[in-house]
Amino acid sequence: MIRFADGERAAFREVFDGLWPMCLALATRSLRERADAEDVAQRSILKVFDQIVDLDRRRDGVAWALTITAFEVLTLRKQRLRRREDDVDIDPIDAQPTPMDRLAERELYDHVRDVIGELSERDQHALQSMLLGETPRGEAARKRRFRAIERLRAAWRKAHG
Amino acid sequence: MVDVEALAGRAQRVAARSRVRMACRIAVVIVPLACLSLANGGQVGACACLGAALFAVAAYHRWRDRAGVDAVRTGLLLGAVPLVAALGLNACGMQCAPGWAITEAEVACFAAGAIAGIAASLLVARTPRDRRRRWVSTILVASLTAALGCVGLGAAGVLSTLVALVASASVVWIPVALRAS
Repeated sequence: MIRFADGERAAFREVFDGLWPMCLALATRSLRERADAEDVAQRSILKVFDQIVDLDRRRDGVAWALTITAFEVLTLRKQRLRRREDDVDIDPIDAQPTPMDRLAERELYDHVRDVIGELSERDQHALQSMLLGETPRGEAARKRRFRAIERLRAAWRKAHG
Repeated sequence: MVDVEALAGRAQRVAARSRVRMACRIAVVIVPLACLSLANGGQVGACACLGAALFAVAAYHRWRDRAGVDAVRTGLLLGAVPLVAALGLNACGMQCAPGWAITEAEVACFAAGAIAGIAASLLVARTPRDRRRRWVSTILVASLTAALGCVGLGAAGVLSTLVALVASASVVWIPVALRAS
């Protein structure tokens, strides 16, 4: 990668053949749909080659390329999530929750409770006060609440992706 | 199913475009230098021509490879020495004399050019590989930058700077080249 970034055009094929399977494997592992994974891998490999001339030679090139792929995976997930939210806003037909919706909601609550249960007691208190709508008293309480949310987010990501 | 060959072709084109874009980014430095030279009393045509030539040379070397990127950076930095000297001379109200007369301005330009030339050769001599090509690129870019800087002082200023820069760089370079061969 460094040789290609330094101007050795002949190294292109070697770099491409090395990176493409890695990007595709990471995208395939991260996304369920094969088509999505291929799209993401293509986008990320093009992005890698778009930025390769500015590659920092002190850093690991492969790790950099995989970071771009991971970022593309996250972007796709966010887009999907946003689209789903938009669909809910646009399509208010049948606003009554179905038994399946209720079941899914209950499962979701159970998952949230489990994840919160894994947090420290202090974090649980901070989250509880937030859920009860209490305003944090002072800077320390506000920071504690913020950190608790961050930890909850990290724990959720670890458990459910 | 992904057509890997088509994707490779696209990636290659993207990389080539990105390299051109990176090479052209040097305009961010060269355009202000040309404007500075214009503000220093240079003629519009001369500044534009020298600026365009400097941009073409710098962009080509940057596009070619990393050694070219380094050479352009060094050349611009060292070419800025006569440029700053010319700005200082102009600020003091000194101009080069017409004809072949030697005034303080020519001497100052000569000294600034010599400093830039010696420094360029010494810096390039330290690099591990492609020294000869780097040296030529660095001197070319430094000369054009110096000429762009001194154009406001008159033809004698440009000439004395260029002669000093190339001559001093060559004198310092000869032992390095002999040792390498």
